[in-house]
Amino acid sequence: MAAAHEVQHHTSTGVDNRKLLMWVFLASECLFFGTLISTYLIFKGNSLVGPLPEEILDIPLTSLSTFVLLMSSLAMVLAVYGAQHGQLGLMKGMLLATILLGLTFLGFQVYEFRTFGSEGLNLTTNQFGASFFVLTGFHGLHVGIGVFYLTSLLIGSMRRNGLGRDRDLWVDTAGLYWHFVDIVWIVIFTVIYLMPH
Amino acid sequence: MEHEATAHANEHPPTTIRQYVLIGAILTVLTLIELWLSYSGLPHGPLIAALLVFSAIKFAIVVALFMHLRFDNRLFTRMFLFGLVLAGSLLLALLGLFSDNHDSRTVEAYATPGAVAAHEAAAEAGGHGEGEGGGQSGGGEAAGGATTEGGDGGDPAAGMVQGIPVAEFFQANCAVCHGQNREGLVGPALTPERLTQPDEFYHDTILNGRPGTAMPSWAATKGLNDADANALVQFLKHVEP
Ligand code: HEC
Repeated sequence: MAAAHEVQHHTSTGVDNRKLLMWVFLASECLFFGTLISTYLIFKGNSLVGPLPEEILDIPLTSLSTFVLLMSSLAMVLAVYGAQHGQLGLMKGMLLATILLGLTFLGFQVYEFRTFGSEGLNLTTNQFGASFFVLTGFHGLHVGIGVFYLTSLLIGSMRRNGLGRDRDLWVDTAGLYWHFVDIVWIVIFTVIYLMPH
Repeated sequence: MEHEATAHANEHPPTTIRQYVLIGAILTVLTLIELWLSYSGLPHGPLIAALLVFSAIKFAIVVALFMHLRFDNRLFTRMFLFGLVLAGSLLLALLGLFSDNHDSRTVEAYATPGAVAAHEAAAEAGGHGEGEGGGQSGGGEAAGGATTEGGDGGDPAAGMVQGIPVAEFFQANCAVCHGQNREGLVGPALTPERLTQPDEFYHDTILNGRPGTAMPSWAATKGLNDADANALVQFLKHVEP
């Protein structure tokens, strides 16, 4: 087992390629969300017809969903801890908690989108609506993908030999993705919901 | 400072469970402070600055400790910073290029100086025919100067644009973007209740378009003239869809 551990991981960079790949991907995601956030900032003031951000954004409700996502990050980091320290019960429990919290966040978002829809704001209503739904929609999509990603890990961990030798790498890498989705929301929450319009 | 990366490819961050929970609590408190700030009624400048600082701190905490970049190989940090710096520059560049869009929703930004002056003169003259096209137009239009052909003095619904009845012209040219019932689609709704700016504003919008939006210049694309534009404005402002 120890010997097997030594033969792998010999790369010219000295780091595991899979983890490096995740970081490179996240770096590119910065550009993706950076563009969407810029677009939102430029467009939101250009709406000719309402509803406008200050009329429709529900800050208390979104604060709650922000808290939910933050707690999911905490659960995720504990799952990584479990994987790294061989505490498999902790790892599985916390993976499940992360998934459930992620789903709760998505529930909030679905509720928000539906409410906005019934109040007359959709993708084509005005420039605020267009840039708002594209930005938060793509973020929600990332959360959704994260939920699938973690679910596949959870299912993998239930197999007879669990996630195998690279267990902590797999969970750690998934954690990087999940936390990234959380920090994007940290920025979105501040920029869209809290900043004065 | 050689990181012995190869020796322990998966060296674990030293953080304990208790510390992780503490970090989670700190992040929550920071979020609460942000929330409080946003309701605190601070002036916009300092408020925005404070919010940005707080969210940057939260961002940094998650990246450094939850994503344990602080304890990990430098290569990851460099990789991520590269993306982040590029994204930041992109944001600044885009905002710099387009931020003047923000206060462009005024008559002055779109109407030509001449039209604004004419509008003000008309307002001073007192009688300017905003209310209902027909009767009052005698007093106000002298200054506005745009209404020409006596024909459309009476009924805004009976105007002609390039020899076509105005409603027909609208259906053929404008409805794709403003909706068949003028309810708005790509462009905003064009109904009397919504069109509250002076006539000159819309007159110039139709002739010159809105650079940077889908609204084209109809002087350039179809060769509309003042009288055409005016017929359209009277139609849009005074005839219910
Ligand atoms: C290709 C789509 C398109 C077509 C065709 C079009 N418009 Fe527009 N129009 C727009 C858009 C988009 C806006 C909003 C521009 C902005 O955001 O400032 C607009 C704005 C306007 C406005 C200003 C409304 C306001 O509240 O400021 C008027 C008036 C107008 N259009 C009239 C017309 C007329 C009359 C025609 C037909 C001759 C026409 N438009 C055809 C897309 C279009």
